[in-house]
Order: sequence, then structure tokens, then C-alpha cells
Amino acid sequence: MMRLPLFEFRAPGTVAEAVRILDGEGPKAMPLAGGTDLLPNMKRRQQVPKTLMSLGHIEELQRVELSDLGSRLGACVTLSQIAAEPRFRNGLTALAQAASSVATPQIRNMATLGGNLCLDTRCNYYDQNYEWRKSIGFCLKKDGDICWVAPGSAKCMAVSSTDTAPALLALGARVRLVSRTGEREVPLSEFYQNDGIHYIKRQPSELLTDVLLDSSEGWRSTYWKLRRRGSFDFPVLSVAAAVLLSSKGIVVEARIVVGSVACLPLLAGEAARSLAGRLLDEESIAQAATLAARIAKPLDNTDFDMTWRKRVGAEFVTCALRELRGDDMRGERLLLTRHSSSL
Amino acid sequence: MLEYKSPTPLDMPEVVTELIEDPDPRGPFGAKEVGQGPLLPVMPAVANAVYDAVGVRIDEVPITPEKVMKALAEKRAGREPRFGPDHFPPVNWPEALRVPPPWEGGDGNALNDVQRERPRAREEKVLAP
Repeated sequence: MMRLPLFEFRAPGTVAEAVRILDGEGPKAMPLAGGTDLLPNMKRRQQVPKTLMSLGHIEELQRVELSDLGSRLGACVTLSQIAAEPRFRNGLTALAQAASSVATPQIRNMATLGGNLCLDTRCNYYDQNYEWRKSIGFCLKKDGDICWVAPGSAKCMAVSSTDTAPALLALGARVRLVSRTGEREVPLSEFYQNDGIHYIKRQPSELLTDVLLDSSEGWRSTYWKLRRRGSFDFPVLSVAAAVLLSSKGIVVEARIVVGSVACLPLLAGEAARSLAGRLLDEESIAQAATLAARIAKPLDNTDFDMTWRKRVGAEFVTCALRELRGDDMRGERLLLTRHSSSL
Repeated sequence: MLEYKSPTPLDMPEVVTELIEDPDPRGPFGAKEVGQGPLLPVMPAVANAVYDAVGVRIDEVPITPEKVMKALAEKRAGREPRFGPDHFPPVNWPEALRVPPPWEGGDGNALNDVQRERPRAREEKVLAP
């Protein structure tokens, strides 16, 4: 049986108090939200914070404000809440779909939006218990000095495995980061970076407090996810897409995000721009799918064969865009998940 | 088993159970094992179903989409439409241990266990001087 290492526990009641603790404790403290990823990681000694700071008592982090002008979601809103929120339809569908596809119902009841956005990157050589990692001499991401996926690499190649980040990127979301000395709003597109160890730009003294969304009036969005079991697993390829269509069905603006194939979710800018001013017809969809799939460079460090993850990228983008133009894609979704709870 | 993901109830197809009451004359009170026996035919049956559906042989489980796709690519290229290991790995099996039962005079030790005899020899050496 794997046990948690010793840690100090703090449970502030306000954001102001929380950022004072983070400021005082430095990088050895970690915020604890749902704990569905952090606590198992601590048992495997992948993450060993000296202090855990629970966010469970901070009411302002659990607020949901939805309006036609925009939305604001507290970092500690659970994924179950998001999945069950009927107002997350049409423009925000991608977020509801992504949230409802994370892990299992029990985990979604605990796991939070902020936690999923800050989810530790994953790798077959890292997500193992201490003894297993010790037996291979550890790896770059924790306790070692070599990347077993790409032994020549100076950089950790662990994979961004969050479901909600690609969805929120497609929706153009921003996050609010608060520290003792001030606060800043960062577009999600600038929040992640291409490094499996330092994968987010949150400073240790900062707390992610809110997710901010502009009005989704007129937008449609969707989220597609590849994994082994439709009931449970982390994504090994994901596609989030959002389009703003004119009354004649012409694409005014589009965003396509390819997730789980790099250290960060990738915005497929060229693919999205290729759709502007065009109808979502077979030709424009095929072109965008080819362009978007090209940026995916999966490595052999997740479940499934990497060449296959690369190969089906274009098909996933095609499915997403066809769904956005109004095609009934429930059959394809069912093929992927093999059970109906995702429809 | 490191990356073997067991199906959850949501991933399982519907399973129909049919109980066949047929006493086994060799088992106690007519009982028969039902643990491993029913498991083994499932894998070849699924592999045969895949072959029946798309004409490719997958020689290892789990049979995943990417393996079927690879075998289909082989088929298209005019090569043998198969995926999986092409032979059973060579195993240098050690000699089987022979442990006689008590009514043949056995004391629980194997007759041909050379590894167990070695420590005994060392013990004697220490005691000798």
C-alpha cells in the first residue's frame, strides 16, 4: 500500500489569506483543490509538497456567474457541476463535453476546473510508483537527469493531458491569477508553455482563482477525445473546435485546438484561418483538418501507438467541424466511447 | 499489465449468462471448475470474428484499432494480412522439479533441486574446522 508522505496542512478561508500563505511558504507549498490527481501523485512521490493548502473553504472560488455578456467560473467549481449545467450549451458546449469526459463520475464530483487546467503533465515513465521509477534511474521530470522518451532531449516531453484546457482555449478563455502583490489576467493561449516540467506560467506565489469567458453569442463549439476506454481514461488525442457562423453559414471566426499530443495544448491557427469566409463544406473541412493534424507531434509516452494517434488527428478535426456545421455525429461519438452516457 | 486497462462496466458489452447443469462425474458432488475454462475460448473467438469481418489476423490481445489498421495496411500492400509476434519467444525452460509425495518417501524437497543443495554444502564447510 502506498501512503502519503508527511506534509503540513493549511486551510485558508479567503483568497487574500491563501496568497499570503503561498507567499510565505514559497515553491514548496501547493494548492489542493479536488486532489484527485495531486494526492495519488504524492503517494507515488511524483509530487512532494511540504505544505498542502486546501482551497475547499474559500467560498469565492466556488462561484459561477453566467450572463449573456460573459461568464466567470471559480477555480473550485467541480467538473460535475460544469457537466450538469444546462446553460453550458451551444456556445459553451465544448467545455461541458470536456468536463463530462474527465475520468469517472466519482472523480468529477471532486475534481475542479482550476485543478484540471493546472493538471500535471503525464508520461509513461513518470506516472509510476517510486520503486518503478527508481528501477530505471528516474527521469528528467522527477529525481533523474534523462528523458526516457527522447534520451537526447534536454527538455521533458511529458504530455499535457487536461481535457478542459483545449475546450477553454477554443472558447478564447482567460484565467485570473492572484498573488500577494497583485493580480493578472492571462489568456489561456499564453498560460501554457512547451516544457513538460514547467508547463504552466503560474508562479508558485500565484493562485488561479477564476476562468473568464467572453460572450459566446452566435458561437458553436465541440470537444472530441481519443482514449482507450470511453468510461475513464486521460485523453491521448483531443480536438476542441469553435466557430462563429454568419446567418448564411459562413465562418466568421474559428478556433481549433489539438490537445494531448505535446507538452501543451496546441492552437491550430493556420487551420482556423483557412476556414474564415468559407462555408463548412467537404473541401474547407478537409483542408482545415489536414492543416490542424500537421501540428500534432505525438511521442511514444502515452497509451496507444503514437503513429496511430498522429494518423487519426485529421479525422478527429473532421468530425468536430462536421458536428459544428450541424451533421448528426452521435454514431461516430458512440464508436469512440462505446457507451451512451457521452451523447 | 502496466498499461493494460481493464474494461469498466460501461466499457463491457452486454453479457448473457446461460447456466448449463451437467454434473461432472470426476468432480466432488458433480462439481466442475468454471474459472479459466470459459475464459480461454473468448480470445480466439474474438480474433476469428475480426478475421471474419475484415479479413486480417491479429495474433495478440488486446485487439486494438491501431493493430487492425496496421494489418489492413499489410493487406493493402499485398503482404500477409497479420499483426502480432511471428513466433513464440524462445524460452530456456529449466528442468522441471521432481518432488515425490510422502507415500513415495518424499520429504518435501525436490530430488533434482541443485540450487537447494548448494547452501547445505556451504554450511558443512563452516562447521568443518
